[in-house]
Amino acid sequence: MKSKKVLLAALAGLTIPAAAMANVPQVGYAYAQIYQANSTVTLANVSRTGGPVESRLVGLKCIFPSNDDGALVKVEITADAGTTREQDLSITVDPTFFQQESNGAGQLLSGWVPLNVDFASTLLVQLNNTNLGTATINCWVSYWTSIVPE
Amino acid sequence: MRIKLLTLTCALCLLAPFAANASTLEYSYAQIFSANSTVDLVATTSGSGNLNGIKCIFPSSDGGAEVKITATLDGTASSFTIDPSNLERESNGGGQYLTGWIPIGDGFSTSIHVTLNNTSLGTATINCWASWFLN
Repeated sequence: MKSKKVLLAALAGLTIPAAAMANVPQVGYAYAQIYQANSTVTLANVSRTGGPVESRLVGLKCIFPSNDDGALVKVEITADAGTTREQDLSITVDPTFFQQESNGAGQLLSGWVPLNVDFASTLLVQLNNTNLGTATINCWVSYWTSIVPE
Repeated sequence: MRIKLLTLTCALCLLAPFAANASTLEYSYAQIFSANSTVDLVATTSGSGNLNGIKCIFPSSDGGAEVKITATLDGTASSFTIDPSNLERESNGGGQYLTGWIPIGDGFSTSIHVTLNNTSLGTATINCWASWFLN
């Protein structure tokens, strides 16, 4: 009888990881363009509820015009705003030494920049060019969210 | 003796998933060109794994056509639409619009299905690829 209980407990233990892996995943992709001096635009504003959420801002890509004239863009990332897990991150993207389209418009290309910023409930990604010069800059992000059943 | 046997059995049970873990790397391609149509980029496949990334190439004569990607992971569908308007272009050849590899990195536990759809999104010959793996 004792052995049966031990076996049952062991089997139950084996099923827990499988149950914890079950999720409700969703993929996301967002785009924004910034072109006005000293402005801020929202690139992604994500909120996922309905259970414990595991999510990730996976990557960022920006394209700068060939006549960029030194304009930069600051990417501001706020994960889980207003919670104990809040993260406020930012990077400034300078296209000076980027690869360039060899014809067409000769744009400067960041390629996909891996970010891998984890968040639990909300994500806000904004582009800001205050005191960073002005050019028409296009950016994209990719992310995923996943509800993990309790 | 019985407890020892039981412990050994449980230990083997724990090892079994690792022994059976033979991942396969998958790479899928699809082209969409008919108006208001849907094609499979990744056919419905059972199992667990990860959707690594998606890449699409739009023709230079795209004329504003977009493509909607729908990833159904574990039965839950989510979509996004790719507009090539401001993407970089091939430096020669057709001057095609290039998304590059869009990193997705989303896992699934039971099934995957990825489609391309262009309903009301204009029509062009758009090629897409997906990189994914199955555990």
